[in-house]
Amino acid sequence: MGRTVVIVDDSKFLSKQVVEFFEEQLGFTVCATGYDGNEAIALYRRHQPDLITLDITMPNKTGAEAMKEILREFPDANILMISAVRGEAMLECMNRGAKGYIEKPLKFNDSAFIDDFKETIREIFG
Amino acid sequence: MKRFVSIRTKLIFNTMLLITAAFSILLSVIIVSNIITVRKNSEKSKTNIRTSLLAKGRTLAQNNSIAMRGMAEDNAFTAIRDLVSSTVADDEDVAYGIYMDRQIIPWVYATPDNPKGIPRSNNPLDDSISRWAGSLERPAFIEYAGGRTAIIEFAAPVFIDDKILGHIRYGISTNSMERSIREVQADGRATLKLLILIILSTGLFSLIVGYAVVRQLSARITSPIGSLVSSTKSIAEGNYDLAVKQESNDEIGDLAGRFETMRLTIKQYTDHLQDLIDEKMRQVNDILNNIEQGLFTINLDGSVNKEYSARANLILKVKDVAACSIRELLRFDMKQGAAFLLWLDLVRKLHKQQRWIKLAKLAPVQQIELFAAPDTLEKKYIAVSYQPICDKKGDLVKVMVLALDETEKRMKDQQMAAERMQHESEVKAILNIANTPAEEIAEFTEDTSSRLHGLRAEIAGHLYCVRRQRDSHPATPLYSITKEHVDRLFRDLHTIKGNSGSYGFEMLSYFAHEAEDLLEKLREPIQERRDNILHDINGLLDSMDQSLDDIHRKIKLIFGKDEEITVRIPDARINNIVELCKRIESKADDPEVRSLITECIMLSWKPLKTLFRKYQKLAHKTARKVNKNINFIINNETMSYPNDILAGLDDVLIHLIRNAVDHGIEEPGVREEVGKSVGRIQVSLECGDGNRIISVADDGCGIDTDRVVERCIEKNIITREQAGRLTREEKIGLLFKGGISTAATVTDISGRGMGMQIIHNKVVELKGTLSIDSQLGKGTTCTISVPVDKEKPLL
Repeated sequence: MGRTVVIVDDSKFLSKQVVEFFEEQLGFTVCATGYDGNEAIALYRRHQPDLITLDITMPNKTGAEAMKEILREFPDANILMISAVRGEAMLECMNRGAKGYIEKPLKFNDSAFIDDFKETIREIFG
Repeated sequence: MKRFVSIRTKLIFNTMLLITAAFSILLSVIIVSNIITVRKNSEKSKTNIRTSLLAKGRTLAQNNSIAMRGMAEDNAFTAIRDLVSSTVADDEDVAYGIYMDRQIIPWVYATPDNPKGIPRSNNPLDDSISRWAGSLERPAFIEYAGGRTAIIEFAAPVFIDDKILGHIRYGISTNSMERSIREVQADGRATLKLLILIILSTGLFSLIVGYAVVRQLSARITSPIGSLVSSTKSIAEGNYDLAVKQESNDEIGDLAGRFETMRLTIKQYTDHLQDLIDEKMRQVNDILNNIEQGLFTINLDGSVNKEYSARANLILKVKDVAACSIRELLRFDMKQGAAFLLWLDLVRKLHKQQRWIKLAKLAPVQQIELFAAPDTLEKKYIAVSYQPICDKKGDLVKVMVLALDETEKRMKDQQMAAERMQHESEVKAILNIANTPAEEIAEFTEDTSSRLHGLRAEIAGHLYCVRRQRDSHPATPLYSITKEHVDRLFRDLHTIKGNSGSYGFEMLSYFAHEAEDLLEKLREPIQERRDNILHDINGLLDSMDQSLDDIHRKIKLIFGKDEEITVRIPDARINNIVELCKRIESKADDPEVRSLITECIMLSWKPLKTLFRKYQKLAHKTARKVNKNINFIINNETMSYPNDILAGLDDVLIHLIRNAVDHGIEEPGVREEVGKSVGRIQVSLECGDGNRIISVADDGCGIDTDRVVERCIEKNIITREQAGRLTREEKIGLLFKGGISTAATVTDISGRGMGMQIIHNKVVELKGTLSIDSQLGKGTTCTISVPVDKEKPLL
């Protein structure tokens, strides 16, 4: 009955860490991982997961653009931005409908970071 | 709730009611008693008058009956008539007088209307009274209603010698009696009227006086109540400073006393509370003052509210925060202004679902820079943070903006950074000393020291001349230094600056630069005293001396213990020696000669640091080209090896190092994202068992083997089934197949395929092996093992 998630990040290494975190710590089922904005859209269409995580800076299509397209098709999509991009770009994503954001670097050995990540997921799912 | 009626009104009303009731009762009593008295009096007078009327009538009838005896006997009509008529005429009470004989025939019938008394007829009287009277043998009287008034008739027989001759009758009218009674009653009524009038006027007077008195009295009674009420009202309103006055010595006064006690108790309590609150506020203010926090609030449309802390003005450098727009306060540019409104919109929507700390981080302004004063370039750094203000329902209504002057903290940070930099530069200097051949360093210090010495001597000479000239010519001329002199000084300083810079002695280089600047001033037309500038230059030379001493200390620290004397021998001579040795090597059998030959050959050996210098430069050059930062580390860099130990491996090393820098090490942004510092390229060389083992390791992104396999399947190099059976090593081995690296492949493996193929082919050509160990996200280590050229055996 676990929730499903699609993880999209152009860094395979980070993507792997996020997958592990979602599976081991949050009990999610990871449907798929993607590496750019186009894949993000395709994977969302195919799996329609409970959550999709997007990096902002990605090749071919940015996370912000992918988010816009996903929301256009699935207005209720839960989108979590995971990016090192801060400030106005992130604010814009939040304003356009992202449900939460996580700042990179991903410090999975920092308990404060993990708590924040978990709390963010809780906030998304109410 | 009952309508409020003041005690005074009630008092007046009730008193008036009481007075009115009392007078009404008095009035009724008097009226009743008066009526009774009047009635009694009239009865009494009626009885009296009747008695006197009866006595009068009886006397009149009896006297006349006696007087008439003779007249009747004599039939003296006229005499009888005169007597009766005169009696009627004389007494107004007598209504009529009749004398009648035995046959009841009237001789006289006198009335006020018939004064002469001549009867109207001579017929006997036939009325009942006349018949009653005619039958009498003794005097008697009878009462009857005679027309308008009641009549009492007195009749008496007139006889001689017991023979009745006739009857004398007099009718007495009760008119006068009734008149008297009426008069008595009228008197009574008049008295009553007067009494009522008196009582009423007394009552009215009493009412008026009573009202006035009660009014006065009630005012006196209620005035303490009034003040008590106003006092309690002010207490109820929370003002405990107004004392409750004890104005009267009655219950109200007592009550006021109790209220006063109560007020004092409450006041004491509230004062204490206020003290506590004041104390807390002071503490809070202290905290706020100590953290130098300025705060103000804004509405969700971005407008600034009136409430703000005074410190906010100070920190944000404005006169009145409330009079400024948020754009002015937070020094927005156009883009930030729009973003800020978007942010306010976002926090309003999301503040209930998301933690404020995360939302606050998205605010477009987190820090502002201000000039400390209008005419300085000194900057102030203000950290801006935000706090939500919600209403009772939990809806966001305002946002509190907190501004914290972080200049001092930042200065400390900068100071710390400067100190760190200084330490780093020192470490760098030490490293540079260590990385530079001792003789080179010695040459540098010697040169610098002698130049410094010369500079000092020259400056001292100029200072002496300046003083001497001023002593001999106090007015003019001014001391000048020739251009040639300045140029010479400049050249020396410039050499010191350049040399120390190239060896990484930053402090020395900095002082030399400063001294250069001062020296420039000596060229300019004279503006300030020469000796000042010369003194300053001298000071800088002192600092340079100290820096050089410091470098000396460091050199001693590094090379000091090992006081090996180094001798510089040109390469050509060494090569000659080595060539000669190699030629006689095979001919020499004596072990001592052999060891001499070996020692001589080893003269040409070089430390790894020198052998890898070319590749170090290459790594840095490549890194610069692709905007990456790297540290190039050589394991056991001081260990010496033959000059040609890397022979034949040039291509391999170039490719390995380029690969590591270009494709292994991530972009600085990415490294920061994954929490890595400056990239590390580490090379090592080991020799043994006739093999040279060289490894090039990076701490970059590693090889994504899944991706490599995917690419190979896509390129039909292997099938999906084959891929499933591959070990990790075999998957990495796919890289050597070549052609899997195209522009379309993702960044972390792009290009590596081709490079790897070249390396692989070269290693195979050298009859060596190539192995790759890679961990995703951690880095890649490529190790090649190549046999030593049999022609040049290693020692």
